[in-house]
Amino acid sequence: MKLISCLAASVMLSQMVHSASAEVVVVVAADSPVNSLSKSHIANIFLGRNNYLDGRIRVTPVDQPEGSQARQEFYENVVNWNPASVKAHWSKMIFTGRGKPPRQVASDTAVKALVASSPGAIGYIDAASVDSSVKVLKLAQ
Amino acid sequence: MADMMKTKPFKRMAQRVTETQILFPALALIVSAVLWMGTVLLIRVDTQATRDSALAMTRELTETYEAQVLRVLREIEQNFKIIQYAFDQQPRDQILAELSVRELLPPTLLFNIAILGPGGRPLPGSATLAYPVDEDTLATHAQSDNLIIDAPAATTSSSEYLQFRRRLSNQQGDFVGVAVIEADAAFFTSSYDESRMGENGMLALIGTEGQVKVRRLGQQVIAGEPMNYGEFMEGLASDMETVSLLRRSPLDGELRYISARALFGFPLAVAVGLSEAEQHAPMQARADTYIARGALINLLLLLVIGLLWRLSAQLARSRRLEVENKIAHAEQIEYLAYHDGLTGLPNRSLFSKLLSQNIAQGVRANTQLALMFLDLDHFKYINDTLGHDAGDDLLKEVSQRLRDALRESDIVARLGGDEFVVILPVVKTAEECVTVARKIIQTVAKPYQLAGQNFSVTASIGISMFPEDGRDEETLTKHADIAMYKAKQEGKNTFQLYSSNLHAESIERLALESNLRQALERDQFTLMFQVKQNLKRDGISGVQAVLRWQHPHMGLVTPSRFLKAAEEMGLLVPIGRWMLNQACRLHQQWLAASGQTLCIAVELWRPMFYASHLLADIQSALKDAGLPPECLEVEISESVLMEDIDKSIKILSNLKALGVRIALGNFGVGYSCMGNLRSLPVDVIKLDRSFVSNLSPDNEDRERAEAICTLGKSLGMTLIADGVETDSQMQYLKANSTRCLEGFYRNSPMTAEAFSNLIQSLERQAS
Repeated sequence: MKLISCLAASVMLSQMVHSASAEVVVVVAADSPVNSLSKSHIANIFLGRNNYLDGRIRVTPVDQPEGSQARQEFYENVVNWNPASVKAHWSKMIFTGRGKPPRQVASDTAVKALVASSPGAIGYIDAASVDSSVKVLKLAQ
Repeated sequence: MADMMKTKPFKRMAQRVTETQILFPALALIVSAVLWMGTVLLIRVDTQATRDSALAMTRELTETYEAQVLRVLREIEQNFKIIQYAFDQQPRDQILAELSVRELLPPTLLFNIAILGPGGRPLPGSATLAYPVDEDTLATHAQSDNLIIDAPAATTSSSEYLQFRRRLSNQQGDFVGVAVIEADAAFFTSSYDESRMGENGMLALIGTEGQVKVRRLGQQVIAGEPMNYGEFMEGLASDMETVSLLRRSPLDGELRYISARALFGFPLAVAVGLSEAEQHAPMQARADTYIARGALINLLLLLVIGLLWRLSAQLARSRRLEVENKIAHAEQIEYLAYHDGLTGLPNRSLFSKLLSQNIAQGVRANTQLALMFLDLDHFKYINDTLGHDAGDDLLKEVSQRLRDALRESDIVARLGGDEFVVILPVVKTAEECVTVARKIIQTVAKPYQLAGQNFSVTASIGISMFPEDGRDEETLTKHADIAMYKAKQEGKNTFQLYSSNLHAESIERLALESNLRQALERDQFTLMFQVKQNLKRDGISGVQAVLRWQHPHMGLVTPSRFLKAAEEMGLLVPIGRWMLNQACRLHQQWLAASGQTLCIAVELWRPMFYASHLLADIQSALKDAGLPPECLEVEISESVLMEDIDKSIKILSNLKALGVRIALGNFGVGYSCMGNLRSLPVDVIKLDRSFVSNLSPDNEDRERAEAICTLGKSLGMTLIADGVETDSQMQYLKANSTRCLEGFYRNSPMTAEAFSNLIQSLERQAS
């Protein structure tokens, strides 16, 4: 009896968490020629391994603050790296002088502003924050 | 000489080395040694190369690490300068935000940046520090303008920070605060590259005051350990070039290739270490492979060498065998060439060699030697009677007895048939030879067991001596042969020393023999006649034809002087045939002239008797002469008859069927066939001439003669004595002979003419 109630409680809790986790989308400037990118390409951009959006446009990845929900979800679902690995990765990149981490801005709004204003910028925001200033990229596998 | 002495051992050694049982093990040893020396050398070279490359890599990694750390430190210094500059220009609350926007600060992902006032209060925008700054520290910075790098006390948590601090001053140089940049300790070892440093490499950032700011061993990052800096840097500190050494790391006790550099302008040094065990592992694996491969190759080589060894040993063995066989074969051939196959004694050619050698020796040493020719008597008879196998056994036995009878130094050889020869290499006197000859005769004369029967064989020996009877091989042998011939003539079972008058005899004999062949063609043979006298009543009861040779130079020659030679030359059959024909012809003439019915006796010699054409010869002789068969009496020696008694009985029966009379001659000596007498179709028995001379009353021979006579009489045979030579003998025989004896032959042959006259005179007397 006690077990069943325990189970029921845990199921409810997980549903709540799920509904609370908003969907993150990857965005570029609205007039960008790029419409879709593969997840691995996006991951490579955010890990400093690829400096181009497509063949020609130099890319400027934009990160949200550490600990923000968007950042957590983006790295979890799109890049597929945990924070510690990302940190270790950038440690090495910076220490060996091979690159610097994405620019960090404070919020979805700041991301949109930055993305809309620079053709090579790419960022991620909550799906709810999308407006006409940015274009949501289709994520190919 | 000295050279000889020098080269000989070399040669010997070279020979010894090429012997397979030394060559192959030596080869195996050398090959194995070379192989393992090669392997060891390879491992050594590889080890050295590994070591060198590890040392070089350590140096290279150190220099890279040094550059990286220096750049990061310079950037941090630069950041402090920027902060100081901004501090001079900006309103203080905005500094950090402004710098951040302008991207003049290090990424917050790895760095915590704070600015503290003189009392330690942080300005807005400052990050929360991992290690709060206390008052003492602030006081220190108030006094000093140095960059301070602090590591936490030794911990191993992954979120350790190194704290960099710098005093901030206003335009007048007063202390207005401290700028703090904290960096994740792992950041300083994040260049660790597993692909080059393995899982147990070392990176370290060491403070010159003796604190390891941070170090990484494999995956493990530790900050703030104490360490004896001076000791660690001993032998490594060099401004000009990077030094790398193999030594035990004081940090973890691991044996490492270590290299370190003191950083220019900072109280720090970087150190890189590579684990020796790890760096050597691939080489170790290769070494194991080399060893395994070496062992395998070695094993294969040893197998191959072993196989070759075996093959070569087999080859050598077979070669040796072949050589041995060849030698044995050659020896065998030589042996066969020089020895008699039957008895194993030296043969004629070896004897000839030995004799000439001994003669040469005699010439040198001035000594005498003796040569003996030995011939077995009646050997032919044994051979024909008992078969060749028995004859061979006899010859072997005789050889053995000769060997036993003689000294080791004496030589016995067999010249063929039943002829043996003995060389006594050194003799002092003729008496010595005589002693030896007697001994030989005695030895040979002992009875033999042949084909399950006891037999006696005797030997005749002729002796010639060097130098007296000849100074060369040919003469000596000739003279020994002559002496032997003489011994045979003397009645066998005896010996004869050579003397010059024997030589004359032998010359005569040789002359006879050489003329014998033409004797028949030149019609030199003639018949003479011995009358058979009656004992009961005076008168002639028969006649016997005897052969004589009318030699152109020597006159009449009796058969005893040429019969043996004629036999050897195969002339007995033609001569015998001639005798038969001649006897029949003459006798028929006499009978026709006189009207007598005398019987003529003709002796059949052994070859004639056993010849297949005997009957045909007799028939044609009778037919040609027109002589009735009952007037011909053929005489066969008892010994001839006994050679093959069964065959003889058949022949005698056939003769009997022809109608001729049959006489058994030389009866009563030697090989008596009294037991067989009943089965022999014989008409006349001729007692041997030895009986005539031994007819004294109390005599064994006489008793024997009596027995023979009685037996013959009872079988209806006529008994005749042979060899009455003188009138006194005749008188004696008349007086003393047994009642059965019917007559005798007078041993005084007459010519055909004389006999013809005798018959005619008898005829006249009768009429």
